[in-house]
Amino acid sequence: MSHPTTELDDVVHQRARLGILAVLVEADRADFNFLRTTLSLTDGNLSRHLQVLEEAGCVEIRKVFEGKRPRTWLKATKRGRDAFARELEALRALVDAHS
Amino acid sequence: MNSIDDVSTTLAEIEQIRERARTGLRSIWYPLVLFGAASLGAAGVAGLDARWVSAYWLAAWVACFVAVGRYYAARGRRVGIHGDPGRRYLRLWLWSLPALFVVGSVAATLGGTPAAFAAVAGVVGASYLMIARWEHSALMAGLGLVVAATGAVLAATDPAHLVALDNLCIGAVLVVGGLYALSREATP
Repeated sequence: MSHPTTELDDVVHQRARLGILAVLVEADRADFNFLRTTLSLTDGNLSRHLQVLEEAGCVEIRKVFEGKRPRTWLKATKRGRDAFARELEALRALVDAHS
Repeated sequence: MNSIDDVSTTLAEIEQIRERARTGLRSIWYPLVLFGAASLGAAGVAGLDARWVSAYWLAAWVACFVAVGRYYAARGRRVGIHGDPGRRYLRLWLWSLPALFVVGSVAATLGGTPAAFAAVAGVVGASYLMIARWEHSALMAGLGLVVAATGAVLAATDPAHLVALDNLCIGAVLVVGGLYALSREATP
């Protein structure tokens, strides 16, 4: 049986990225401002983490204009939802293994 | 995350974040007040002529579901987080309307009008319990049980003006429940 740490995913394991996916798996989609406020991140920090998640195929980023205002909507992909579920499972297994 | 304590803390933080997202999504007052008002309207229709209640509910049911879908879409744009209520409510509508018709008809054939009332109240209550599960709302679950119990009690006592009384009681319960939910709703 493998150790639970071998199941951890480097892309998703980072705390802010885990937080981003935690919001997005609960919703159909959320916008940049909602994520920034909910996770208490700066614009630059959130953008960087979103870029990593997008490159890994875990989130879809859609930039639209609503009226004259630009808005960025984020959505967890199937891969992102699966990766988040696996990460949670691995973290829980880690805690269980030590309790 | 270096120690087990860190991992436990992270898991707790994730749960808090998920709860914040759910708080952003959760808004049950509008469907409660809307369906409550529709039920009060049905009581008025039943008071005039009980034969028109089914036709009234068919139209009101569609109108309420459309209005709820539009409400959640507008709220999602305002708050910055969209759930999937439109598709969920559509599934519920597609499930509940035939269920109401079939269960109500079978119960009416077997036990007459009071049995049909109890059966329909059960289906309506079950629909509210289903919404309560999506919305993680104990209030909605409680109202679902009250709606089912109200219908069952009224059916058992079989009072005069059963149709009007049933719609009046359920409408009042839903409107009061909706206003209570509105007063407690967190502003994201």
